[in-house]
Amino acid sequence: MRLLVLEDDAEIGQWVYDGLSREGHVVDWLKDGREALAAGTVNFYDVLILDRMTPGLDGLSVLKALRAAKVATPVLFLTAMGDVDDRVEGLEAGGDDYLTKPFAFSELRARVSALGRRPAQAGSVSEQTHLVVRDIELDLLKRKCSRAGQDVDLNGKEFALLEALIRANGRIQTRNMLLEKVWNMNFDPTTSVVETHISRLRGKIEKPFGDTVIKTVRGAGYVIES
Amino acid sequence: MSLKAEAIGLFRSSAFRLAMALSVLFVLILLASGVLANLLLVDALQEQMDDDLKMRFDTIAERVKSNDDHDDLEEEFEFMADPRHSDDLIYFAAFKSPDGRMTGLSVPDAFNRLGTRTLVLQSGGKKDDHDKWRVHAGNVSGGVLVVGRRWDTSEDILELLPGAFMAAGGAAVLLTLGAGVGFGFAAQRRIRKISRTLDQIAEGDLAARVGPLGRADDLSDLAAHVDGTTARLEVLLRQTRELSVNIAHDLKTPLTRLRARLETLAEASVSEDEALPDAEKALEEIDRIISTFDAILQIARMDAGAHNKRFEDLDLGELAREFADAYGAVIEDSGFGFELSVPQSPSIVRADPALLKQALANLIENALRYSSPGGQIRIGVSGRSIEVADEGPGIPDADKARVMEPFVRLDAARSSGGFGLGLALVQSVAQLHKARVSLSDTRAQTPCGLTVRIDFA
Repeated sequence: MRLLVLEDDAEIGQWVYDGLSREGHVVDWLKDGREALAAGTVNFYDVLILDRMTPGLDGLSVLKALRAAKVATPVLFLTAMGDVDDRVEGLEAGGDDYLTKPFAFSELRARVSALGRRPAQAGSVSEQTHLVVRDIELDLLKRKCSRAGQDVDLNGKEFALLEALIRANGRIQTRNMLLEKVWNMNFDPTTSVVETHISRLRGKIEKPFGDTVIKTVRGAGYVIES
Repeated sequence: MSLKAEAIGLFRSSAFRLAMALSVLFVLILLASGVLANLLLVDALQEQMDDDLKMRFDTIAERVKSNDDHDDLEEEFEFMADPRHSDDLIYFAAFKSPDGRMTGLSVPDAFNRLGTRTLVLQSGGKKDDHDKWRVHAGNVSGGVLVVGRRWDTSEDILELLPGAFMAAGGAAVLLTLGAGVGFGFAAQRRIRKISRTLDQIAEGDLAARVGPLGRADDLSDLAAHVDGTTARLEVLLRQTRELSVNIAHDLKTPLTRLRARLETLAEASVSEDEALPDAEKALEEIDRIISTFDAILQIARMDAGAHNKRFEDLDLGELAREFADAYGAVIEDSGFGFELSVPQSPSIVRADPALLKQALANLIENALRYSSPGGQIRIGVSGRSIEVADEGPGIPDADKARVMEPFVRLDAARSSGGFGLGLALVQSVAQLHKARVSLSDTRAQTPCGLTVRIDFA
């Protein structure tokens, strides 16, 4: 993918640039908000990664100007830590996701990847009534799950968790992404909410069938590979 | 404020008390001057009366002298009659000739002493002021002449005097008290404005000001001082807050870099098995530092009121069920019992969902950390309150208030991990919602456990 990174701190910017380049992305790294706005308007990018506090023009203003210019490129915000308001402000201004500094690179990688491969028409996936991966089938209307033709009885959160993993379509879901999607929690609990539910879900979807569906990616998150 | 409270407040107001004291003082002065005026007036009246009496005495004495045998004295005394039998009489005269013959009125008492004095000559047996006479007795032609004058008429003035004093005094007292009530109310209103502002300040709103209080007097001076002091405090507190926020912000960038380097290190050492656990441990530690700074920033922002309140109607029961969904499994898998008690009817409060969730998560995680093995953890909603109860070692009553302060450590078993900012954050979130946090024991026996309850107003 082609990515734009707006980050004024040299070291962090370098780290993000190196990391994303190593993943095989083409990265434009800019330190000034005005340059980022110009680049974002002229070039085509898959994802824009904008820091909130940047010289020239801050990230939020860059986003607003881009959206005003009908640039619909997905935007990931890098927000200062502890600022819940910044996150909400960013999302309200048309940002698609946010990441609180300091962040794990695995988190950035997973979120950029999720944003970049969003379907062109956002509605098309959510209008589906059935999700299928391997031999697992989710009936979204009846909230029913079956594997290899056998009904699997999942509770609400287990179903939502499995749905989130299947919808990710082979991409890694981090703990925080799952917390946001399934439990609507925008903070990182120190206890193992996600791990516990993954383990219970595995008990129902894997154990009776004797194989592994949900793969744990060490230090990153979970993925269901098709 | 109720009428009764208002009245009590008025009674206690300094202006009213001053008016009362002044009234009492005024009445005392009035009484003293009344008594003094009375004495002086009596003296003056008596002097005047005595002059009049002497003149009349002299006139009658002349007649007595010119009437050698004293036979026709009755005629001379024609205007005289027995004062004891006539109320109209103002003067009387009586003469006792050298041979002991009495002419005129028979008032033996009057003759036994010469000079001027006051006598009471009873009429009809009953004694009243009407019978008071001023009497002058003197030697004339070898006999004794007595002339009397009724006190009566002049006495009227003296009777009017206290009445006049009472009326004037009463009116003055009423006016003073009325003015006292008026000033009291006015002063009370202004004082209430000051104390309301002080209450706001005590609640942490350092932006509260008394503002202008009208007239330039001691009260508006006081208000100006209160405002000045608060302004100074606000600046100091803001500087302190800004300092901690700036420290946290300044440390953010190096922390981010450090975390980035550690992560690179951890990933690079995947091949060298022994380096990996250390790098991951270091990452865990730095994440802990980061979340502490996060909490500091959040508490500072909430306490400063800088938080944009994204309040919405929220059902505490629904929130509790959501948390039961997320944490029930975690609690059970950690070896504790889990209980959720939520009433059928919704209990709607105005709240910032994100912040309230975070506070609740802190409480549950505290319970998870401190509960004794096999103990029960309960999330409960009742009325407009939500609580998390554990069966851990609990907190001694003496420490319950202290434990809300940031970074408090207790020496008991609870101190192992330290509360850090958990409860302080809960407290700040509650304050932002004007809710109250209270700590209590979950049960009577040991371990007594801890119940943290958030009461919405």
